[in-house]
Amino acid sequence: MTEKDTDLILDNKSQVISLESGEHIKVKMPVITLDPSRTWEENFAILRLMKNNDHVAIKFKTFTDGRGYSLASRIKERSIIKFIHALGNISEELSYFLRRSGFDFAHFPLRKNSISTPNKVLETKKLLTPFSTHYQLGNE
Amino acid sequence: MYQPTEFDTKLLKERAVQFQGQLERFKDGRSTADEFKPLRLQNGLYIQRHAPMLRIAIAYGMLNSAQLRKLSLISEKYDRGYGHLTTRQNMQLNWIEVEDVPHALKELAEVGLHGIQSSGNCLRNITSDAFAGISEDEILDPRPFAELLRQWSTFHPELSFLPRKFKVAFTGTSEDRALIQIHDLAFEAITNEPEATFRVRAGGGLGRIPVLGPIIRDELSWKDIRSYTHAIMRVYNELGRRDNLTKARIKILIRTVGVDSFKSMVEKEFENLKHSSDKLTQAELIKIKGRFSDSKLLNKKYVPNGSNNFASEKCSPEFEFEFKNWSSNNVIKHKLSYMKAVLVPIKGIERAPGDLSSDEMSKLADIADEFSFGMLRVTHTQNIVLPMVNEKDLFGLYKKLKKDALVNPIAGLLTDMVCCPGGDFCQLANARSIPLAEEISFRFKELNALENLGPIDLRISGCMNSCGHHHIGHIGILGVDKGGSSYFQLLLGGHSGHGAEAALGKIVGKAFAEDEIADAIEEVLSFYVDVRNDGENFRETLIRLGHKPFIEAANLVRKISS
Repeated sequence: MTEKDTDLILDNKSQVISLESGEHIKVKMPVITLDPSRTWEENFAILRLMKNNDHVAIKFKTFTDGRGYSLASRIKERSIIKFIHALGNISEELSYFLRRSGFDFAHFPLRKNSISTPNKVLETKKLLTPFSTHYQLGNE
Repeated sequence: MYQPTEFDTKLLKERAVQFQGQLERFKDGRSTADEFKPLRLQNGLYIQRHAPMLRIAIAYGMLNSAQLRKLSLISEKYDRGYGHLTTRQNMQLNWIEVEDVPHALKELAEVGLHGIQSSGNCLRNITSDAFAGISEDEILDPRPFAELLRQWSTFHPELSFLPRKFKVAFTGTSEDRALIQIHDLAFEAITNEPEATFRVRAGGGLGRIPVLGPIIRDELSWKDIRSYTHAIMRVYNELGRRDNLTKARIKILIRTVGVDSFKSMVEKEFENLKHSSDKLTQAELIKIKGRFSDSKLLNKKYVPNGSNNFASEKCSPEFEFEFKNWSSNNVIKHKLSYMKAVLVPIKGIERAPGDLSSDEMSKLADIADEFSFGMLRVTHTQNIVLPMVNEKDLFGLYKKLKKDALVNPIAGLLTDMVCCPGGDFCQLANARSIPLAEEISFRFKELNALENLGPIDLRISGCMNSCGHHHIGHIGILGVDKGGSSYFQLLLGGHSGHGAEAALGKIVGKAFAEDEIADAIEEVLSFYVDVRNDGENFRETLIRLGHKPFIEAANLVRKISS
């Protein structure tokens, strides 16, 4: 991020969006946060101790790090955990990919001019589903 | 070629709307430049040396006349009246304004064109043999398989933020006309349908560290193309380097962990994905095949009416001679006995290789309608192919191309060269490759001289990124920067894989100055003519004699002694 870009961030708080409805929700922060830079085997060793109804978070160091998407996909296609949160350096613009790969909630950093403000739910919804259909099955 | 369904077109229109929103939010300061960058790149939009550049994907090089007509309109309306054909069978517009891109994308969507995944660290536009489906030596037509993979990989979340770009190629022949060994992933058909199988290579690529891709699976059922690709991408996504751009391609990962270890990791993941929704079905294949407009034509037993109209034409001996030269160089055998494929080289003295004016695009679209069932193809050597020309219409086609100044009987010869946009457009370039290409075209403008040299594959890149594929040219030229000045490194002995094993060229000593390099090429070629055996082409002479005498010939032109 450039210096100018970091000015956009108001503080360290984030707003949680349901990736199903696009609405702001209140939800507890998951106790366990997975690091996508670890191997699947390492993350799986943590996941196997959790219950299916638990919530787990995956933290993105950068929003262009595709490992987070693969990690969520692997968790969902194996039905290991029901609820996955996206944390860290993520952007509303990529919420479509988050949703498709199996994330349920996104903790978007709160900024001066956030895309996903509560009065712009319709716009957020559009970002979640920009396409009427898909070429491949998703994990949403 | 594949005819987009309503579903496909709708998706493209939605993509254009999505991009317009992304652009507006960026301009309103609601997303950052860093956030916007991957979004614009995955729509093919670069910020270049002088202006933004839009790369329009041409799926495995297939175009129809309506699409080319649209490209003509778009390049006229939003650019400076021309487009550039790339070595990955795409078209680039070099002068488009960012604000115009959503409008251009909306208009392109109407004919099934787009910029999706033509850039960025994602699975890029899939390429293939420009003669796929029509070549005599084909085991199978790879295009439906390429289309199935193209669709599946479009907007796939796991394939959109890879460590680095990822290029895929398909070929249906044992003859490599698709540069399969220099792709990140390549599928080579080895047995025909119904139980079609492919050999799989991964980790090929050029750039700073050129590698010919090793085989990672000897045989893969066509039904597993998607799941196996998914497995490869997962391994690459997880283990590929993200801390160093120059070491982020899959070729480096495979080299680091070793081919065998990489293969076992992929196989392990493949076991998990083999029976997932990625697995292809016969119904899907049949459905896709039905969307190829030439499938009926290629499978129809058809006897054309009339005979070759050349025999009945009255023309001057000179015209007849020219027609025969053109036929011999530019007309290519076809799977159907009464059909031919015709190469239209987009090269010439006053033309950057691959540059087509809007007017020429429009003319070629009309020609395709009249002579090639409205079908065209883009080759990775930056040319156009008319793939379905009835043999009896060849003379008529020749006359039409000549009238439209599109006759250039140089296919496969020295001046049918490959060249990247270089320093005139690309901000990564170290040197201007286009003026050098023009200089060589000027020096070797006589067809007799070119034919005397025989088949020579010349490829020029303006920098290490190797968009001009210099490593695999019989003669390769690479632009380098030395103390702020442009120089050119000469490589000899590369090969694309067409007609013989693929090979990487070797660098010939120190780089040549801008005013030396064309002379060095001339000396190398003159030496070849002096020493070749009867019927021996440049590549064969180079293999017989080795590089040393050719290096000595090139060095004769050095103006400053070292």
